[in-house]
Amino acid sequence: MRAQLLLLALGAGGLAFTAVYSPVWALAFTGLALLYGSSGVYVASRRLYYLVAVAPHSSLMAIGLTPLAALAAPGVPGEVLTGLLGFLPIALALTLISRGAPEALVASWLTALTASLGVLSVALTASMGLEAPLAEALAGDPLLITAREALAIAGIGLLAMLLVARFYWVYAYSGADPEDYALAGYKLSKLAEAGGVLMVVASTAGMVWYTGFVVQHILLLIPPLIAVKAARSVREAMTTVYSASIASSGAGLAVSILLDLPPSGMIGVVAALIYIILALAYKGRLEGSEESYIH
Amino acid sequence: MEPEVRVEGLLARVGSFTLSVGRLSLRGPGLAVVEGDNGSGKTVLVKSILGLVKPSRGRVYLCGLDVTGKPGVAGRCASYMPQNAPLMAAHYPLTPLELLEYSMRLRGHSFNRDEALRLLAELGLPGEDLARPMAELAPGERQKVFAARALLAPSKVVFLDEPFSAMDREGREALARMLLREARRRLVVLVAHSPEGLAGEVNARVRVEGGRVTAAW
Repeated sequence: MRAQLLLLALGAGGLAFTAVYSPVWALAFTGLALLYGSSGVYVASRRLYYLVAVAPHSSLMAIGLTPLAALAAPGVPGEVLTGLLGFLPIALALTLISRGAPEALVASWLTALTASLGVLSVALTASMGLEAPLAEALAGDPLLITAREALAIAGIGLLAMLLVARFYWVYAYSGADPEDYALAGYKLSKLAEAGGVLMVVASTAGMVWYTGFVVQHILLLIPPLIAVKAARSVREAMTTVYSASIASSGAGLAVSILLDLPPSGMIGVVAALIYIILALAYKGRLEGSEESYIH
Repeated sequence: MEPEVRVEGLLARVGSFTLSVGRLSLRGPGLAVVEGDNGSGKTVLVKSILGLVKPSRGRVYLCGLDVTGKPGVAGRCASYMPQNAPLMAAHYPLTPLELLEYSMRLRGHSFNRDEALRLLAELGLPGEDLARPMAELAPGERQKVFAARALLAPSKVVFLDEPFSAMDREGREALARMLLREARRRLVVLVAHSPEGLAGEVNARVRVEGGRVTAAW
């Protein structure tokens, strides 16, 4: 619990510092932290890491295809087209896996396909005289978020957190013991299932313009890894993922303002540092667990 | 009266392995033992009965319900302790008490923490272990938690697949006592090479050989 409080304090301090410069940035990054924290709990507790493999590549592909899609659907906002295009590979992955296809196979195949299509679509777009903003998609530019967008992101983050707070124990049990979960006959409502998928899509294709492709990988993976290292129970893991997500986002943004460096890169550096510090702090715990197998 | 377990003309495939059952019925309360050599198909039989392995032919009824290939329906009648307790390895921390609580909540039952603690204590799992993640428990300790989960559920049939394999002597003896007690009020189906001092108490035996149920008495 001490680690979670320290992480929360670090994140809150960073966000408070940011708010002095720009309340809009602080609001947007609070929303992003809640959204990525929620997706992190969802992905890690349900053991859906294949989604993390596929989702950022599918969002990159979506970026590449968006200018082409805009020709076919004039008037539809680019963000909406990107979100829809990024959703398709994730929906395909979930469908294939629910029909029994091995997760690793689906993840590998779809990662290869979406990454390749991303490159091809950018080339095709360029040959047609259109522009796919690939550089922006890689690094993102969260500081261009408007007040209205920041409010929307905060709202999405809050909704995602409410969904996870309601169902985190179901996610954890279904990931830990899928057979007993099947025997229990419990069915998540269609709304809750759709909410989980939409949360992952929002974290990837939905936010790629703001966070960038690279930082998505980091924020979807590192906070859950920190939780696995530091937490001792399902409830504690959930609070740790949120704390780590808020700490990475808040502190990363504050440091990027101080050093005048890109926030997306700094968030990744801060997340990686937190992980290393906690891994060293909890090194003894791992040794303890190995000991338990001996007696 | 309908038997708790009824299997008719079952054919189930797992990879290249095929399980075939002509007719099988088990009636409770009592203790039934499923016997057979390694790889004979005991686990596939139990999983087919529970709907976790979908049969390509035949029907399975539990408590009068057609549960063929439907684990969500089978779970209304039966609880299950798997042979290889899922490791719940480093992917996510989960304590023994959380495991028991969530299992009960998913089934729509209220979680009686005192009853859970009593069962775990009877199996010899000390209180300090209950705050540790499952992944940190020794295999025998994990088996005790899964046995407690199966017994805690108010099901009419309890399936336990090799429950004694990793437990210490005290745990094996305690579980054997508990199974005898449970068998007085519901059907307990035990998959075991050696039923741990229960041989004289067995009401029904099912013999599985090379993927076929060769005898049931």
